[in-house]
Amino acid sequence: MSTTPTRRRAETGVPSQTATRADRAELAISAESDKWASRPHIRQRPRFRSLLVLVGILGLCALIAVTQVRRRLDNRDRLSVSQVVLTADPIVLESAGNGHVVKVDVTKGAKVIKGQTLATVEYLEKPGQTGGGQQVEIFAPTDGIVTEVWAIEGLGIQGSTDLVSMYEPSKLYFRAPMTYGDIAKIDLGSHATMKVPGMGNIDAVVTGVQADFGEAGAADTERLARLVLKPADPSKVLGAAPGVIVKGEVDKHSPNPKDPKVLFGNGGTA
Amino acid sequence: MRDLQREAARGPELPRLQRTTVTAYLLAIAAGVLYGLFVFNPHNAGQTLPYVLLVLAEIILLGNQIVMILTILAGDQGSNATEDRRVVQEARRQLLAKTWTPSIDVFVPTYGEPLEAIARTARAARDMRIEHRTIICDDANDPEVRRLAERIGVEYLRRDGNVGAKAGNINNALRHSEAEYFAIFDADHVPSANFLEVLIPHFVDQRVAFVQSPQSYSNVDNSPVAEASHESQRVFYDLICPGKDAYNSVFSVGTNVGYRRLAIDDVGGLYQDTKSEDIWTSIRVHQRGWSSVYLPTVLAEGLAPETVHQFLTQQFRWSRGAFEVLFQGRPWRLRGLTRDQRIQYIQPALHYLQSFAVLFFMLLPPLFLVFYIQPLRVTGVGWLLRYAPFWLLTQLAVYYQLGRLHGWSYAMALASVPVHIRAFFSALFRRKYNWVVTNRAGVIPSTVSYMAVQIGMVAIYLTAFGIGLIPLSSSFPTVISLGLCLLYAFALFVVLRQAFRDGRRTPSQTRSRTTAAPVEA
Repeated sequence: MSTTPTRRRAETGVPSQTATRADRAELAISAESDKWASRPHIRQRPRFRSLLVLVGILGLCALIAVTQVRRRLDNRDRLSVSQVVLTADPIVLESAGNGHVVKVDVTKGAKVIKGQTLATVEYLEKPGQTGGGQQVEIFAPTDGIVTEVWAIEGLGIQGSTDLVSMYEPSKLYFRAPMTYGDIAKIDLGSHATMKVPGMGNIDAVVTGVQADFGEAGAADTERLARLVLKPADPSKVLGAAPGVIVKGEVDKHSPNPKDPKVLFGNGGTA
Repeated sequence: MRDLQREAARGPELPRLQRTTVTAYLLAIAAGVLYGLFVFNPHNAGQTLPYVLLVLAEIILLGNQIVMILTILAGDQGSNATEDRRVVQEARRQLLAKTWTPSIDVFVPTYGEPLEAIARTARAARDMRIEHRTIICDDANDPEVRRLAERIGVEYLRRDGNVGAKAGNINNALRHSEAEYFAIFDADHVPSANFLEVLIPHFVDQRVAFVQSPQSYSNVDNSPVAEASHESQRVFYDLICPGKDAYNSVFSVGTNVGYRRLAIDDVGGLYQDTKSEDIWTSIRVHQRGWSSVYLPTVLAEGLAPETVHQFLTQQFRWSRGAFEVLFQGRPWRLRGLTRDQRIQYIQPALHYLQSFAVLFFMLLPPLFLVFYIQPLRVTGVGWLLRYAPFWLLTQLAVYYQLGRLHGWSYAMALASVPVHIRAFFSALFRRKYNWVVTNRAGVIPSTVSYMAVQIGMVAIYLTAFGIGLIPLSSSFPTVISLGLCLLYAFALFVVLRQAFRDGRRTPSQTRSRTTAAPVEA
């Protein structure tokens, strides 16, 4: 505890303007310092509250470790997917020439059957012609649900003007955003399970991949792909609304060992 | 060892920022703004709650960084200390020639510190050149301290009770003092002989209420903790304080400081209703229109905390003081302060609020590895490309200015996070806390008691790392998160190991607490 005066001055770095007086004082002080150093030492015990916090954290860690490791080992051959959208390819009915809409028979959300008239248009042969054209009915090409009606009675049309959009409920499928890295692990024909709210688990099969150059922008380079999963039994999602977002799990391997990966080579699609 | 006498002869020398340093700081601000635009763009949002927390964390971090950088750059524009250097030098000449003989009292407030430390400080205070009285103000009422004072030939003062803690102690001393100026040294801050002749001439400006000189530590080589403390203090005293001085908002840190008695009387004495009397008194002095001076010259050398426990105790006191100013002082609405002064008094709390942001960022890697929680819907690379320039430029500027980056400082900063958060809630709910003199009665604190959260955090990192090795989907963020988990766990482990080593040392092998309560940056 007691150091020599010379050493202590070096420690403090204070210029020794009055070294003699200081040294005398310091020698006297060292005796006091030793007294302080020789006081008994009390080693504190851990506080109960601290131990409780520590045990709580350790317990939580252990619990999470056990459940997560078990879950991950169980799911070694599966991938969790989220933000999966139930969707369908739109069927857009267009006009075939110049003219105008005569009649609209459906509204947005209407359920239609194959062959049902959706709208009637009149094609005119010459520009400026006011009547006498050929009236044509636009039929639903398949059973489905109308998603958009652009046609309005009297609306002037040209070739390829969008009139009605619909989708086929029996062709609803799941689209799962995924990194190319994860997609590359999956076989075509792999089995998947999607949890659709109100419908329970829906079985699906991996059928392909779509590129996504949409909203995410250039920064989102790892998520520029969507896995396509078709319900094993399309009738089970007939009542579901397109756009619903679900979670699920996808097997990495197909039951058929000969099935290729969804992606192969450098990002190419299967 | 600095040549104090040579510095005193030529007056204080403010560190000038080199152009490369200034450029790095300006680029850091630009990179910070770009990063902010990226994070605050809702288009990049991932899961909602983590994203909202991320935005809040970034607001705190960027706000603090920008205020800090602007303060540092302001410090480069000159300060109160340099404006009237010729006048100050003339005053110093008169002081040395004894044609100006102000009355000066020097107080050494004590409260149970080791006699060795008190003696060293009192002796150095006594031996300062320029005529003055030295008084040990003993709040512990310790007969050994009285005998010590008699032995080394300084005055001794004690009082009944401890009302107002250190501020009450000094106010009591002021009732026994007629001096125009007084200086304060905590018991472990040893002044150099030329302290008064360098500091007192700055009072030639009649508006100056107090002159603060930096804290510097002489025990830096004794422990990595002391070294870390020294490094963080360097950022505060070498970079921040000159900037605060430029805004006339440097605050007293309670030691190595000289006061004008008239100014302290003007605000009714040192502010007693807090344990951070120094900053509160500074606020009041500034509110009354007085000015302050920061001298970037080391005029006293103190002892840094050498043990982890001492360091964290000190961090608690400082952060609690800064949060008290925020919650109870509400600097944004204090009358009499300029807008710049208000920002500067918010800055210390903003600095410690960073711990909330740091905690959030420390928890992100384990949350991602275990629960796939992602605040941003971007790749790890996308985020890194935007954040890295900002972080690197800030570190580069600090490196240019200080000459080094110190790993232990980062580790201690991480270990201090739970302490700052505890101080936040302690100040928010105005919980009482005791002024603890470390190792006063030879008490060896239980490491598990004061490091429970840090031990728990290491456990969290190791757990997350283990779970992360079995990824459900591996990607670049997984790799980054695994690396960060290891890094944080290592940093905390190093501090923990030091804390357990401290616990095996007896108090006689460690130094005393440091008593000043500045707010580091």
